[in-house]
Amino acid sequence: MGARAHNSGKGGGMNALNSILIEGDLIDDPVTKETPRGSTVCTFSIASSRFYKQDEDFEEEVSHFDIESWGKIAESCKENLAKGRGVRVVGRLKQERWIDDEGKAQSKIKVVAEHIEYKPRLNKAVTHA
Amino acid sequence: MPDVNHVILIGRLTRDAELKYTSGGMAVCKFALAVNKRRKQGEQWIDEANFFDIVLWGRSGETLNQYLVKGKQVAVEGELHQNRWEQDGQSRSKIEINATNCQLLGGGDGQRQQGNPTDSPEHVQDHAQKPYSKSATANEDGTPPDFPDDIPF
Repeated sequence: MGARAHNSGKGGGMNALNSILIEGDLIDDPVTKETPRGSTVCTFSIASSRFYKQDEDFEEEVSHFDIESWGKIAESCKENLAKGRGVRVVGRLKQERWIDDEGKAQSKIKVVAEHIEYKPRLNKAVTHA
Repeated sequence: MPDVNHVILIGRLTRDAELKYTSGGMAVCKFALAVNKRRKQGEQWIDEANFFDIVLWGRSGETLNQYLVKGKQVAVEGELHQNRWEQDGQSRSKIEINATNCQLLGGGDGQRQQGNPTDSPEHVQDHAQKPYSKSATANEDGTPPDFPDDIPF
């Protein structure tokens, strides 16, 4: 039932199921950073469209989501991604929580990528690295 | 072309679900799920909770609301959605999950918390007697509110 279940020895607890598959186009170029411990993180935002019918017309609704990738996937994102590129992301949802400068609790939902597919570049043919 | 957008979560409710109605008479059931992620810190496994806001529209939200109590374990299938609005001249946004299917699992046998007017049975019943248009009983995207129970997975 739980994806990536770990045996903790006692308690019998495990990771709860948490899985997402999402498509969208990059809103901006990706940003790649190194953590103090030496791992690579690549973050970017995608615009994902959804269509619904209102009366007789189809309306488009765009949502923006933050995607975060680590390690080898991050390196690959850095190589292949640029503003406008379409991606398909398989991963999990993550909630980040922090206290802001005014002492207020803040939170943000992100998608942590565990697999990414790149859609063909639409403007010009460029070979994959 | 619409983009693929599919989320599956299993978690426990952090509080009782809240049922409200839009001005158009559409039921909106909102709750938050705690989804644990177990990770290793040094030699020890620690549980990290992630909280996600879930919105269950229409008939399924209305009928499931009474069972969606704090501590209840549920499986939610739906779409990730960004809510955007203006507050004090600032644009704000929040990511939530629009559920298309919600399965009750276990736990949360306790009573609903008292003193929340939107949760009281009278209030729910009062609204439940309102007539609904056909579109209000389906999900926002026009799919039927529930899948059959015999999907083999």
